[in-house]
Amino acid sequence: MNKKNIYNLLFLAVDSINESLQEDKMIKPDLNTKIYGKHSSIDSLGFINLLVVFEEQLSEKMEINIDLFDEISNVESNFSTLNDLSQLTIKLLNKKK
Amino acid sequence: MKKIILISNFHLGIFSCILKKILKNFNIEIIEISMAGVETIHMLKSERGKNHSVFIWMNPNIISPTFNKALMNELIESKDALNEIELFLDMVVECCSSYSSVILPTFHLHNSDRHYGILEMRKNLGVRNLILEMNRLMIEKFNNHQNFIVLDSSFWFQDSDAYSSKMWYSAKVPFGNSVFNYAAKDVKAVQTAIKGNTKKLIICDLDNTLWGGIVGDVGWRNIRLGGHDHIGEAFVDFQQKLKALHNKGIILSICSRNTESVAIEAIEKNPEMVLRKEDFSTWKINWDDKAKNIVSICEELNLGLDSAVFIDDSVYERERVKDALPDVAVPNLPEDPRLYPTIIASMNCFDSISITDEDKSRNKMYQNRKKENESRLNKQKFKSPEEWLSTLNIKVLAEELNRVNYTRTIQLINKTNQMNLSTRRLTDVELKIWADESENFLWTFRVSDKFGDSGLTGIASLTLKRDEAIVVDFILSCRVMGKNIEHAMTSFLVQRAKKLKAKRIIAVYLKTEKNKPCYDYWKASNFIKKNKSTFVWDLGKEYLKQKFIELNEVQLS
Repeated sequence: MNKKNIYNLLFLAVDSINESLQEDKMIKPDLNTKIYGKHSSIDSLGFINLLVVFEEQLSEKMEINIDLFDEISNVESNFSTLNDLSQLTIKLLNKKK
Repeated sequence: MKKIILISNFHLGIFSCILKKILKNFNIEIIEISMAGVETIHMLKSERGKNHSVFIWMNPNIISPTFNKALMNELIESKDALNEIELFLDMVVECCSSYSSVILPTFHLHNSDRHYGILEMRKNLGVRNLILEMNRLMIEKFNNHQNFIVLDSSFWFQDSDAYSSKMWYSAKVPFGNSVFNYAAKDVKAVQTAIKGNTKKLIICDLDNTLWGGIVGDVGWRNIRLGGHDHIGEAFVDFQQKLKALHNKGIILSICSRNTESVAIEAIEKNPEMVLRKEDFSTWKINWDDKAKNIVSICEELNLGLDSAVFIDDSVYERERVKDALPDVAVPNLPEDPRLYPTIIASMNCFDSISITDEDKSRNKMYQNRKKENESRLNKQKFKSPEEWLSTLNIKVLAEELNRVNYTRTIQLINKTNQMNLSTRRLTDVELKIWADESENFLWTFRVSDKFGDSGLTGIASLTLKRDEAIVVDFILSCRVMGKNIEHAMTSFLVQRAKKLKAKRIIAVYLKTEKNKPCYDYWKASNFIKKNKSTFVWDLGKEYLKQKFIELNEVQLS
């Protein structure tokens, strides 16, 4: 499993979500972009949609099936950016090995 | 401000976002009522907005307890479910009649459950059969209400991500984003039609758009259309889609770089043509700028440019029209003509709120008007063809005949008809013998611009007789005609003739059935017309170069 592949799939998911958002509401494709909690650039529905689309990308492109929702509820206090999401994904994938 | 009120029993947040994005130029406020119960419909009664629209997207199991039982495969009476649905539909009519439009999608399942599987369409058993009956009831109920629009939701469920159980369990959103995208496009089509901005006119190119090949070169018998040919069949299908649009009232017209008589002959005589001359309300078939022709077509038909859709296989022509006439819709055609029929059939910009007999006879009306009023002046101000060409970074690369370009040169000499001065045809050996003579010179021209490389598309040759340089071949593929490449080639020949110490350069036009465009070019050139077919330039004088074409020559090492 390649870290770069995870980033690529995450940004693909961001692109997909941005297709449905007006320009001023789009998610900046940057690992430091906040997607959860205070100062998040998206609302809760947008966040769920991003997770689902990202999970689908992982399943479709890498044949990996994980449940990010469950994991986020465990680490909620330390979770806020796209980078946190990618790190969490990598951790989950390592656990699965 | 006009409003669209969205009501659903599930979460509409994503749909609402997509709709806001897609309708951003419509000045419409979107109001979302998610997770609504059936009783919410009563609230609409108090709103009573004459200019407002309402979009009601409800699960049938919320409306009908009997249908809910059917979802559990319990035995039910269809009529009970239909009675409950009818009560709901009556309530919608009662509460929403004052709205400018009331939009409901056809009922559908909210997941891909198979229920009775292969028996799903069995009457009084299958859930999908029950949904069919509910939809028939809805269509009949709303049939007499012009402002009620039933959208066929089956179009929305064509992608693999249509149902999303993850989104459902996490956020009460039953569908993937693709469903909301299709639905939003349909709502936009309704709003466009209400505003009266439906497209009314298709302006179509001919070569490689309505048929395969270049009719001016291959003749009407040899264009690719129908027959035992997959590409030919695709063009026939494409014409059928256009004919279908024509039958529902869309006006067809032609804008093509061609000799009019040659193109019309193909339309009239090729037996595979689906579209015939009488299907086109007007046409501009000439060598003029297409943007200018489109303005002229719209003026003649008395339609705004924003009513028109321009269809052309050439990215160059499409970009020219997009740049000069931003109000004209210009869909991007794929390179593969087998995909043309799907593209045209899936366009929703022709959707209208209603179709009348007048719509269907609109083409005939315009044809009559064409007869009455053949010409109108083009008064529209837009970027001139020269200004447009100057933005294209056109590059022409001249190269002497050599082993690499030899085959393509033979092909162009023997295939090109329209921009061809002498239409001399040569075999491989004949060209070799001719080119080996010391007084003969031949150059090829490769053309490129910001849209790509058109490849080797021009040929010009000279033969030196004492102090005169005679133009023997002057050939240009019609792929690049209209970009002033002819002028660059002429300027190049003038320079070379000077280097060869000639005093005059002479072009003699040999008329054929198809090469009138070449005559028109030389007639309009700076050369002096000596007689009916001879054009001369005195090499003591400077010949004007094309400022916006970069002309280079490959230097042989």
